[in-house]
Amino acid sequence: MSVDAKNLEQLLSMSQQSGDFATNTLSFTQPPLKISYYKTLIDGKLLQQHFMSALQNHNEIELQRLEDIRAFLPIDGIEITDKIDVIQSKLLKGHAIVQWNELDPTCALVPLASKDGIRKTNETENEFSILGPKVGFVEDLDTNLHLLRSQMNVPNLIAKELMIGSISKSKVMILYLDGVTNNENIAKVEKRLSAIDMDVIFDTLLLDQLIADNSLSPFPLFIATERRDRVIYSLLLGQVAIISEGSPYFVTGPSTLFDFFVSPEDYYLPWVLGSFFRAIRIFGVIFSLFASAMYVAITTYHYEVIPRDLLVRLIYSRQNVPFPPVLEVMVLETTVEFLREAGARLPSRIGQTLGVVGGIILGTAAVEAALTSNILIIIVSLSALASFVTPIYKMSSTIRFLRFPIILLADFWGSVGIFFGVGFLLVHITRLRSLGYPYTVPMYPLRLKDFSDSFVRSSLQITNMRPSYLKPVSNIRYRPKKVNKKSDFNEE
Amino acid sequence: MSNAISEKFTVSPIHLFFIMYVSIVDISILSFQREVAMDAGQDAWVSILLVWLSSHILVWMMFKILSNQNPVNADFVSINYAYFGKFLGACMNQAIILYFVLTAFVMYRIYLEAILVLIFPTMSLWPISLVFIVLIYYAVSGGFQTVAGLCFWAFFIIVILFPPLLVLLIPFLHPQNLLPFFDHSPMQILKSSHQMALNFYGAEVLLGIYPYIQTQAKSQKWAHIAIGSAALMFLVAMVVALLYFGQDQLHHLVWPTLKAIGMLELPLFQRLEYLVLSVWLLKTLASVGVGLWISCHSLKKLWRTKPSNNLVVILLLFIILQLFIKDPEQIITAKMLHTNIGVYFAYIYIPIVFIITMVRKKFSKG
Amino acid sequence: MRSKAAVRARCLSYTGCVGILVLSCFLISSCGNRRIVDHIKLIQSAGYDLDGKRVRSTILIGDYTEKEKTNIKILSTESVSSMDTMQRQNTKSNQSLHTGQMRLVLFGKQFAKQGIGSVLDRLFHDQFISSRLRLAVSGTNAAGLLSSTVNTHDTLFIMNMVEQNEEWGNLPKLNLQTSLYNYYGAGRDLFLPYLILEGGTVKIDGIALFKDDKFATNVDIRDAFVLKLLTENSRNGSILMPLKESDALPDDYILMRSIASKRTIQLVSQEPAPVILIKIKMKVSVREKPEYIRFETKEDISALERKLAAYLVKKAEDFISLCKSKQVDPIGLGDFMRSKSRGWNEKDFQASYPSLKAKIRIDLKIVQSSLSQ
Repeated sequence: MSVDAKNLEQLLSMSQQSGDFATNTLSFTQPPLKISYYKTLIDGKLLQQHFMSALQNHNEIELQRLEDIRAFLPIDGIEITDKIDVIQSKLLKGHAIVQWNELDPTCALVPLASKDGIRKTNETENEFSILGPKVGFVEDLDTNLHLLRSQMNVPNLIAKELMIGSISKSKVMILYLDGVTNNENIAKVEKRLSAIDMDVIFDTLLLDQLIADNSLSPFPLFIATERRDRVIYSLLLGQVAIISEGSPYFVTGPSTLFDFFVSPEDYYLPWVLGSFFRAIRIFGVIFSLFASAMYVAITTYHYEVIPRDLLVRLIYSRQNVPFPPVLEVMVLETTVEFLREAGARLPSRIGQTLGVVGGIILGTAAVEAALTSNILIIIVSLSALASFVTPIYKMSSTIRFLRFPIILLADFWGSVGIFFGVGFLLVHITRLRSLGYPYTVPMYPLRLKDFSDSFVRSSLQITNMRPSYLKPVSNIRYRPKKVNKKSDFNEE
Repeated sequence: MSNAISEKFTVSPIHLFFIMYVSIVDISILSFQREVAMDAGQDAWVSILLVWLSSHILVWMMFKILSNQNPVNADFVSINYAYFGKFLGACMNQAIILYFVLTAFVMYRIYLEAILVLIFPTMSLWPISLVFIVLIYYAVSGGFQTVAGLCFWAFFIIVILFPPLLVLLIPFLHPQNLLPFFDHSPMQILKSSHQMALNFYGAEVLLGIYPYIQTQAKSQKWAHIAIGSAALMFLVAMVVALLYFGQDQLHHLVWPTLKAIGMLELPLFQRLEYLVLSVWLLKTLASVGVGLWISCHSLKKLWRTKPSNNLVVILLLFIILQLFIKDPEQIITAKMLHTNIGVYFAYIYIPIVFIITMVRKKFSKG
Repeated sequence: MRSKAAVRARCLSYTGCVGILVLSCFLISSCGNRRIVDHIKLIQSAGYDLDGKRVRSTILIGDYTEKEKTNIKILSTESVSSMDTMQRQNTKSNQSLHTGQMRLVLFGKQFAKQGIGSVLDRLFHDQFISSRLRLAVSGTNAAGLLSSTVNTHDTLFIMNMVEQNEEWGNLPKLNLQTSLYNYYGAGRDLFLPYLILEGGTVKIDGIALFKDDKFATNVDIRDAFVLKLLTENSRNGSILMPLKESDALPDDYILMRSIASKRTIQLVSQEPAPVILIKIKMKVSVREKPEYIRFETKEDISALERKLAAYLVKKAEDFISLCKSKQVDPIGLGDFMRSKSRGWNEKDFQASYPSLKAKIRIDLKIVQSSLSQ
C-alpha cells in the first residue's frame, strides 16, 4: 500500500494532520520564507544553531532567489527541486522544506535529520568472540557503511542503493567489490530485491527470506551477521552483502552450509587450533542432531547394541520411568526449548537465574521423581549445549528444530528411522540452492580446491585463493610470500 | 533440441565415479560371498578378478559406443533409434527402461526385506515402504544433480564407514584359509565367475547418464576407476569372508559381511551390523535414485511425457509390484530374473552395439 | 510461468500430505515391535542339561528393581527338545524374554555327550545372538553351576571368569564365532572351557575336547596352556614344572609365566605319513623357584631354558598323542594339511591322522629381570 501526494499542496495538507508537523513563516527574512518540517524527524539543535541563526545574521541581505539560501546556510546537501516524489521522501527522512512562498512548487530541501534513538554502542552482542575486534553494526545505515569503509579503503567497494518497502521506503544497499564479485551474482541479488513488494522492511533478515531460493526450507540460505570482520571477509571472497536501513544485520550470500560453521575467531588463532575448533563445531552439530534420537532408537529397539558394562547402568537409570523413551525425550527436549525461549525473552540477569533454576533444580527433581533417567538428562543437556556451538544463531535454531522429526522417526523405526531422517536431510540440502549455487559446495559438487578453507582452516599460505564456486572475477586474494623458508635442521 | 545440455543440469566428470561406484556396490556386497564361494571355494577371488577385467572391457566398449554419438544424444534411447530403426528401437528402449525400473525395484525391495529379516522381524512393511517411496520421490524429483549428489554422499559414507571396520576385523582372520591357491578346475572358476557377474552389475547406467557429464573426454578415466574400486571392494569383502569364516561355515550364511561386522565392539556400541544396515538405506536410496532418474528421463525422450509424471507412474508401479511380490521366494525369483537380464544386457547387448558402432564408423569413413 | 501463490499452495499441500502420511505411519507402526530395554527381560546366561531323556534349560536374568544392586533370577524348564525351551521359559516370566544380550551358554556334561550341534546351529542362525557369546562345558550339570553364582550378584559371573582367564590365564581365546569356526571347519574340532563346581564355587578345570558335536574328553588346566601355545600367538598363562622326575617335594617345582608366544607350522614331508613341524617361540619369566636354583651365570639360565623347553615339548607331544588316540583335532592339523595339499579330503585325513607325526620345537627364552633381585 502506498500513499503518494500528487502535488506539494496535497502533501502539506496531508502532513498537517499530524501533530508533529510544523509550518512556520520566517519573519526575519526578506521575503518571508516558509519552512515546514516534522519536529520529530529533525534535530532541533541543528535547526536553531545552524539554520535559524544563519538566516538571522544575514537578514539585511535580501534574497533574490531560492537558490541564494545555499550561500547563507552552513549546511551541505541542500537540494532544490520541484519533483513531488523527491520532496515527499526527503521530508519524511528528516529534511525541512523551505519555500519562497506558499504557492511556489519549487522548494529547497535542507537536511536536518536527527540521529536520536540510535544505539551508540556497537559492540557485538550476539556473535561474541574472545579474540579479534568486537566492532558490530548498529541500526544506522550511514554508521554501518562508515564502519565498513574505514577498514576497506578502496574505491571499488561499491554500494548500490535501492528503495524497498511501500511504507517504510527503506534504503537498501547492495555492497560488493567491483572487479572481484561476479556480476551475475550482483545482478541476481538486484533483480530479486527489486522484485520485492513489502510494506515495511524491519530488518535485513526479512529481505533474507524474501530473496531466498527456497522459502520452505528450515535452513538459512544466507548468512546474517552483525560483525564487521565477517562482512568484510565475505566481500573479500566475492560474495554480495545486503543491508537495509535501520538494521544492524548484514546479509551475505551466496553462502554454503559450511560457511555457517566458520567463526571469525578461526582466523585469529593458529590454523591448527582454528581447524580443531571448526571440527568441534561440526561434530557438535552432528551430536546435537542425533544424540537424543540415538537414545530413543537404542532403548526402544536395539537393546543388543548396548555394551554390557553400560547396559546395567542404563537399565537402572530407566527402571522406574513410567514413559516410553520417546515421550521422555520429547518432554525433556521441550523443557530445554522452554528454558531457551524464556531466557531469550527475559533481561539477561533474570535469564541467568532462570537457567540455574530450570537446569539444575528441574533436572534434579525430574530424576528424583523418576520421570526421566539421568543418562537422558546428560544427553539432552549435552545436545542442547552442542547446538549452540554454531556461530550463526539462525543455524543453531535450525538444528534444534530438526532434532524433533528425527526423534520421532527414531521412535518409528529405530536406527533405520534415524537414517530416513538423514536421507531426507541429505536430499534436502543437496537440492537447496543459495542464489542459484549449490548449498553443499565444496562437498557436492566436489571442488577439491576449495577444501583448504571448509572443514579445516588451513594455513594462510594456502588460503590465498577465493573459492572457485563463487566464480570470482579475479581468483587471487593475496600472494603469500615465503618469509622464512624451511630448512633442514641446523642448516643455513 | 539445443546443442548442449545446460550446465545447470550436468555434473563434472569426477561424479561419474561416484554414480558408477554406487550403482555397482549393491546390497549384494553384504551377501554375495556364499554363492561365489560355492563353486570356487578359496579361489573365489580369481573369479572376481575375471569379472573385474571383463567389466573394464565393457566400460571401454561403452565409451567407444558413446563417444561416436552426438554428445547430446549419447544415450541408449537415441542409439537404439539410430541403429535398430523406429519400431525395433522403441521396443528395445522400452525393455531397457523396464530393466532399469526392475533394478531399482529389486534394490528397494531387497533392502526392505533385509531390514525386515535382520532388524524388525515383526514389522509391517507398508508404513516404512510408503515413507521410503516419498523419500525416493523427493530425491529423484530434484533432478540429475540431486541424484548425483546423493551418490556422492552414499560413497562418502561407505568410505568413512567400511575401511575402519575391515581394519578392525583383521585380528579375527585366518590367513590359512586362502591356501592352497588354484585348487579348483577352470570350469568351477567359470561357474563362480558367472555367479559373480550376476552380482556385479550396474556399470550400464553409463548408457543413460552420459550426456549429463561435463567434458566427456575426461570421464572415461573415472569410469574405470569406479569399476576398479568397486571390484576391489567386492574382492576385499570376499577375502574377508573367506578368512573370517572359512568355506564350510560360509555355506551356511546368507549375510556374511554383516555377520563378520557383528563381531566388532566400539566403546559405546557393539553389534555394528545394525548401524551398517541402517546406513545402507542412503546407499540404496542413491542407487534406486539413479535407476529411476534414467527411467524417467528415457521415458521422456521416448514418449515426450513429463518426467515428474513418469516418476509418479513408476512409483505407483513399485507399490503394485510390492503387492504381488511378498514372500522371500518371490523376491529371490525377481532378483534372479533381474540379474540374469542384467548379464545378458551387459555381455550380449553391449558387444552387439559396439560391433555395429565400429562397422558404421568404418563405412562412414570409407 | 506459474504464479507464486499457486506454487506456494502446491508446496503447502504437499507438505500437508507428507505430514498426514507420517502421522498415519506413526499410528500404524506404533504397535508390536518395541522392545524397550527396561520393559523386557534380558537373558544373560543360559544352560542346557540332559535330564534323563528330557532337556532342562536354565537361564539367569538380571533383576534390577533394587537400587544399585543386581539380583539374579533363575528360571528353569524342562522339555523334550532343546528347541522350545525359550518359549517355555517365557510362560514363567512377567516380561518377555530376549536373547540379544546373552553372553554365555553352558552345556552340562551329559548334554554335551549327547551332542550340542543343534544348539550351535540355532545360535549361529539367530541374528540376535552376539558373536561374542561364550560357550562352556560344565563338569556336572549346568543348572548347578549357574545357580552357584546367584550370590555373586553378577549375571555374567561365569562369562567374566572365562574371559579373564583367556586374557590372563591358561585358556585359549574362544567365543561363539571361533567355536563355530572350529565346529563347521573341515579338519578342525571344537574345544570349550571345562568348568567344575568346587566347594560351592565355580572353577575352571581345563578344556573339553569334542569329536564333531559330541564331548570326547577333558584335559586339565596345564594342557589348556599347551593348547593355547599350539593354537594361537598367545600372551600370559602359566605352568608349574616339576624339577625332578619323581618324588617331588612341594618345593621342587618352578613356576613360569609366559609373556608372549608365537607359533608357526611347517610341513616337513607329505609321504608316506605326513610330518608336521610346529615351532613355538616364547618368552617366559620365572615367577617362583626353590632356593637352590640360581641364575648366576649364562649357563645356569640356558640350562634351565633347555629344561623348561624339553618339559613343554613333552607335554605337547603327550597332548597330541592323546588327541590322536581320541581322534580329535583341536589344533587344526587337518586344516593345515588341507592348506598344504591339493584335493584334500576329510575322510582320508581321518584315516591317516593316527600315523601323522607332529614334531614340536620350542625356542624358549627366560626374560630375567636382573633389576628385580
